[in-house]
Amino acid sequence: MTASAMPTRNITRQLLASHSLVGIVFGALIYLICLSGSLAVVADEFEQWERPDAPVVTGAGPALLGLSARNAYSVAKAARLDHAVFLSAPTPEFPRMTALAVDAKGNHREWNLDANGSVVPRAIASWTTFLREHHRTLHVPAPFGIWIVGLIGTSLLASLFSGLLAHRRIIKDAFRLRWGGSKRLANADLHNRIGVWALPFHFIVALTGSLLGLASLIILILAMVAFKGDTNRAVAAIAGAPAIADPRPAPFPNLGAIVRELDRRQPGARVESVQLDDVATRGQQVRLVVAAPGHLTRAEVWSFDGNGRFLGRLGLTDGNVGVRIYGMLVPLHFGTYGGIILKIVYLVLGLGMTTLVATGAQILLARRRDQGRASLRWERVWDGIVWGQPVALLVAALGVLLTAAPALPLYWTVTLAILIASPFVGAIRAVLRIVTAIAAGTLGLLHLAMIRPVSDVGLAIDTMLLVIAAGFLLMIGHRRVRERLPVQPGMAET
Amino acid sequence: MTVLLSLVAICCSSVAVLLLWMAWRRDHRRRRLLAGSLIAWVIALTLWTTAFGLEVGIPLTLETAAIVAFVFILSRIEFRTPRIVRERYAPPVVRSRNRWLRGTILGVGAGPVAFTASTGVGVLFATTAPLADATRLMLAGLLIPSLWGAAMTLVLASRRLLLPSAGLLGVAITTIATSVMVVR
Repeated sequence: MTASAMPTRNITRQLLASHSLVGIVFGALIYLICLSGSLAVVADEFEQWERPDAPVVTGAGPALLGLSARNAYSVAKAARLDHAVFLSAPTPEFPRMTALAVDAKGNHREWNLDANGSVVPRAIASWTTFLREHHRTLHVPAPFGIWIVGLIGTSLLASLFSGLLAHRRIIKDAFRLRWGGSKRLANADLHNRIGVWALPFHFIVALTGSLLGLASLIILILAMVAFKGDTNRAVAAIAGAPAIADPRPAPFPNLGAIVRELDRRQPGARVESVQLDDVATRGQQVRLVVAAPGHLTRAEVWSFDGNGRFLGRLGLTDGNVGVRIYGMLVPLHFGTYGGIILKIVYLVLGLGMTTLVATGAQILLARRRDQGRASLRWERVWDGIVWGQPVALLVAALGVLLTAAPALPLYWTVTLAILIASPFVGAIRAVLRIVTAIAAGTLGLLHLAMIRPVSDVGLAIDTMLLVIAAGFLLMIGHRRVRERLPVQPGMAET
Repeated sequence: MTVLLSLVAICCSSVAVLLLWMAWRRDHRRRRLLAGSLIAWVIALTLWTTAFGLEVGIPLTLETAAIVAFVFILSRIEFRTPRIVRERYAPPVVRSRNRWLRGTILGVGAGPVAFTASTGVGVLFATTAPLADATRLMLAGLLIPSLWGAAMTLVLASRRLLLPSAGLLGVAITTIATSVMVVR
């Protein structure tokens, strides 16, 4: 930023005050969402780690897809959930086939399918489901949960704007990271370097998260005025027209023939999922979600009628700008457009974002301390929130693994216990780091010992847990050694 | 081929960061170094887009640049001697009630006021922009949270509460009224 473009000191101070206020009000919630979101990037891998016993399906051709859809529909019909059936085909990253059936009221149930297309009970991955819901809604009932998360995304956006504008030394300190001296300086350097260098990522994730969370509310408001209250028209403009209801009975669509027709139109097309709307009626529609490599949307939607006649494509890859943006939102938010390597990149950048939030509050608290207004209890509470979350998530996973207990009560019990205890425990950070190390190590070892079959993904996650445990123990050991070092003459006191 | 292109692209990003760092150190060849860094980044972008297409290549360039830069910064971390913290005590600060009241009003009021204004602008865009339905909706959908965040920053950073709030409410009323008139 040039000197002329730099805001005055007064404006900077006000922007910093704004930045701090957003941090104080929303900091803890932003932290919860960032941490769970970073982990949710690899939720498919966690599901395979948690339930390696689910049937593995490495590929699904037209015949298997057709058979699986028919079997899934039969089971859904028996359960009176046959309004719409969704079939997720296996992908290289997630070699599982699942079916979801929905009735007209929105009640639903899921199943797994094996390599022969037979429907088997869903291998429920409780902890992974908990993690996904935690990030999506914070477990608050619909529609408020997702709106709250959207609002948190917006507050993160506001924080990014004010933080960027208030950063007077954006170029001067661009490559500096000072560590080990003043705690405030170290945290400020880390906060600013992560904040500035990964700004495009933070901005994209916050914006897409905000829109995904508030989409139903925003579309409702926009439709009220711009579409004269016709919400269905607004939704159809983006997501495509729904099937036209015609309840007269019709034969189940020949999915194998439809997939072959797709292959004729686009040779080598890989079907990622199938959606059957108003099944076995004359108004039925088949939507094939087809992989679209080289596009951010990751997939294109092809629609066919019940007789296998091609109706059209949604246009996620080559339609108008609006539909293409719609298709990009989820892949851009969760990093699902570039395979496992990109997921790891997203995980690292997401954890960076989590660190950004954690250090933000630490800077505020350290500044109070430097000003002689130390707030010991709030420092401990913040440490309890930051270092307590990994403990709560790990204990929830241990509970699911050992006792099949539901993850949600375990998570909240641990979180609240840590929050209540933290103001009274002097070394809360050290205690929680030790507990994290123990919990991660125990989880990794127990999972290795108890869960069969051992998969590559499972082995990788268990190894990662053991590495985390070792890393935390090393960190604690290093700190203890450093604390025992004699104070050198001339060492500055602050 | 894709793997090779990706590796070369990461190398180009690393070179770009290195050149940027050299320019940052106030080397006398600063302009040349900055130009070199820019060229290296353009090559990285070209390689990513060649390997994965333009849509995927652009975010990949930005994301890998962030990681490469941070790894570089970590490799140049300045370790400092630990410092003993001496407790300092400031004289108790007398906080006026006004400050708390102001903070509460700011905290509670900034969000809704900013939301109303940003929604007004979004609705006006969705109503009047000469674009396809889906494009108008999606762009308005992206505008609303972005403007909401920016407007919240504006209100929270303002010394005077009334002025920005009144301004934003004015924007909301004008834009929504215009949208309603246009629709009718």
